[in-house]
Amino acid sequence: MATTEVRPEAPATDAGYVTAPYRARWFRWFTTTDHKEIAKMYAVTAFFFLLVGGTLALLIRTQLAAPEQTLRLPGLEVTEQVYNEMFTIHATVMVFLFLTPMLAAFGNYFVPLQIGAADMAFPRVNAFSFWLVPAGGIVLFLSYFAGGPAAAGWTSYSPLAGPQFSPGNGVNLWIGALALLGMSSTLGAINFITTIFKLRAPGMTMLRMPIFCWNMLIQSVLILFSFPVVTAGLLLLWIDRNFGGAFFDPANGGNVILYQHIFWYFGHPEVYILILPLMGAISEIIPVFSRKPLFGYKAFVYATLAIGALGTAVWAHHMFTTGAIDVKFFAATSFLISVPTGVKMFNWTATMYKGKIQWSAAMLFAIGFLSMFLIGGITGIFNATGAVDSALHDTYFVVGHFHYVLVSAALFAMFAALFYWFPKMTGRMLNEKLGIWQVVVLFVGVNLTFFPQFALGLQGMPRRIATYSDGLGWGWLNMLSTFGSYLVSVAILLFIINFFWARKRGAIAGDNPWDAYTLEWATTSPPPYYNFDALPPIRTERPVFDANHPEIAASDEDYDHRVSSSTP
Amino acid sequence: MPRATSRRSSRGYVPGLLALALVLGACGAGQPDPVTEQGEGLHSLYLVVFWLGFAIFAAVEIAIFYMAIRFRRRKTDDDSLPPQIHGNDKLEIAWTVIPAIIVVVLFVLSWIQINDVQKVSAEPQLTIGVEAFQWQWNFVYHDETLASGEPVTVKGALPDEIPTLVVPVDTLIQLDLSTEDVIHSFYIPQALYKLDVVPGLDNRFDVTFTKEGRFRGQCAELCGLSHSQMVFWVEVVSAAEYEDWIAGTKSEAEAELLATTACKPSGTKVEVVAKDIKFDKKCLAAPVDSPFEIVFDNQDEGIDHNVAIYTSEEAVTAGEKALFQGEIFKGVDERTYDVEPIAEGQYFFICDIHPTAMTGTFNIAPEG
Repeated sequence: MATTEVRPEAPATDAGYVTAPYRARWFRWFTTTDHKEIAKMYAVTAFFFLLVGGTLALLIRTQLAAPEQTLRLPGLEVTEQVYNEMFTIHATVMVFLFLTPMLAAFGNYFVPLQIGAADMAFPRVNAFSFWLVPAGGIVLFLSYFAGGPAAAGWTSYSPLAGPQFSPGNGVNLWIGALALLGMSSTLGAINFITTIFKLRAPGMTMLRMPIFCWNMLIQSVLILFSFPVVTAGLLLLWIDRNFGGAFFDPANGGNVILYQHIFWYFGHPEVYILILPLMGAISEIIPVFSRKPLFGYKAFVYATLAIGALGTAVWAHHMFTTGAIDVKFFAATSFLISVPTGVKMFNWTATMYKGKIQWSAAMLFAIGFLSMFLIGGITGIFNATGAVDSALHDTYFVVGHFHYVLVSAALFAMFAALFYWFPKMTGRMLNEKLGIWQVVVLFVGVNLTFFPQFALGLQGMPRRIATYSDGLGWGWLNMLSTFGSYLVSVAILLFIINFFWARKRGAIAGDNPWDAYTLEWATTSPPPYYNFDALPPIRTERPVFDANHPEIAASDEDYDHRVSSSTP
Repeated sequence: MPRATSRRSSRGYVPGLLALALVLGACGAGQPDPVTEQGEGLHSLYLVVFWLGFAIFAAVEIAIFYMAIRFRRRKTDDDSLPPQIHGNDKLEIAWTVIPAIIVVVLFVLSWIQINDVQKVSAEPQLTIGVEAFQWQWNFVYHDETLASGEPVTVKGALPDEIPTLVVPVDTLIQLDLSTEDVIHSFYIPQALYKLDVVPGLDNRFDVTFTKEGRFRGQCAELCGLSHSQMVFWVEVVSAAEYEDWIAGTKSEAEAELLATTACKPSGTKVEVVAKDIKFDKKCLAAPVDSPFEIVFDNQDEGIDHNVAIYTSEEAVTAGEKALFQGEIFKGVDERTYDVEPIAEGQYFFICDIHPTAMTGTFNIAPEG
């Protein structure tokens, strides 16, 4: 196969600049600036916090399993205060310490590889971004030893989170943690944008870039738009709490709605920040296992751009019931964003059409993602109306809706990506049989957990309540939901077992076990420190496929057109 | 990774989904029957969104699973690649334009409902103030006042006093929401409606209950520790029952007021008993500009009590001198205090030994 020499002068020995400098193993983890090692640290940190946030979720679900109960475990009594703390920390951990770093892990590992670069644009900034994550986690959990953590919800609405109603250190440390984590994401976003714009290999035009990279790019732009804003808002809250700022105190001329605008101006793009990279990963996985190209590559690019643009203009649909916003405007933008989202859905489905779909664990997880994301998306339509939302807002219907997107869909996509990319990251294959068992358990688990929540919400169960009266008929639905959450944890446990099994005994992967399409598969598994010895020519969005299947390009009448139309 | 699996007909999904739809449809698609005029409009929009959403859900879900099963790689397949289809511009346009039309229709329907629920009448038939606080509700009937000028008020308090908002059926009611502390949300599931109670905002909404009955309501916005206990009831009754209720509540409130702060003098002999570190009366009264006597019966064995009159509660905390201070003595015993004339006005009486537990109002007013 024809190759482009990226480092023609690279010495064949390990002695040159292209190898990682030798350091003691433990020391290396603290000093590394290699994007792949940083990515692994992101992934391990994120998975650790998944277990922390998941444990909190199990406690929350157990507390709610039956009406009028107070869960008592050795050393823990779930009082109203403890309950409010638990859901606050659960959401904060899952959003900022699990999903965000997990996506940073995928992005860090695969953006440089997929565009044929040797590392991120700013390797030291990259390391700094990572180390801010454990720092933020430590600050957040310090609050348990400093008078109790924040209990005002992950939204920390003022005046509830203000000095009068949330005295103590909890909210202060929560703000501190979010400031650190926000800085981590912001620096990471600058790094991704720079890497994607400046470090693409020769031939890798924007319209030949893998959809995963496109999604990371749009995600990074959204981060730049939203995180600095919320950090500023949290600073105002900090001043309110500690220096009598009164920005959000109506008694002194402040405005409590202003806080909600600032928070959700970040909060809604955040949802897309959390799901776009996963949509990107799905857009890599479905074509590879269908043995076809992605259906409508350019449509995906436009849809992603449209979601990014509209995503910054829908925030106040979280405030439909405040009586202080233009409901119609935000209903309109919220409806509109379903159009590009639908386009993605249809394209993924069409990609499978006439394919030869390998039912690998990764592909089954991806199909699970489609199925779950569809439910999350359609239930979003109910909320978008603005009118029907006046019944559903702040009930378990909304809890079900966003958990279908951020748990059901996100977990399926994350495991799809892990099964797909684990061989590249470690050189070994995860166990497929165990993976398929995990698909089944996870599918039953998430649906059992979150589907009853729609019914609960329709019947009027508000979110964030520590318990509920007997005789409302909510007990059995909550019990189902709780049982489902235990199944979800079994599914996660199966992955942990698979992970440790595969590290020792997984089959050796080779460079490209899936006959996949993009550049990360053009190097060894795991890739060397400098990533590539040589790159195949990049003429389409599937350079590795083109190199491995020259007969397809030769017989494709449209090939030249596709090459020329993706050249700037 | 080809896998042999038992062939399951994808057509099996269709009856399954239809059965699910029937079950859901039979119970209002999961939403409770609305009990208000505004809720009926919201429910009809909900049903449109539900059936449309269900149709799209069923169609796409079937498509996903059909594709995944129909086009799976089989054991007998060779390694050749399937046709490499890169896309289809006409299809892309179709599945952009058709959903766009659907959401425009939904938006127009929503527009109508939003207008409907946001309508705030300038002349409602009844205006009730809803005061939210950590962690209960007060309902203030502005149109119904007591003799003192205070409006009729239903008060809630933790842990057990769950307030009931009593309203007449088929009446245009405006609920005027207010709070002095944090954000709450006034939510009646069977009205299919909620509106946030925001400090600094004048939020109000119109509601016309069309069904009599007792409906549950609850705060829907996290408002701190006991958020989950901010429950209330709405009782929708006929106009006649409502009038009876108002009259009954008024006379109860007047009687309560009489017993606590609005008692009137009758003669120059005022009797009061102390038992279990409590006065038996919350309100005492004596005629204006005339000397009177307080017959004080201390029934607490071995405990010091007295009766003292101050100008106000603040005067006690400020350490001001009493207008009258009765002798302190141990029970069980009785004393008769002679009190000099006091000018007309509302005063405050306490036991000097128990200034927080034993207090009341002392009215000096013309007799009769």
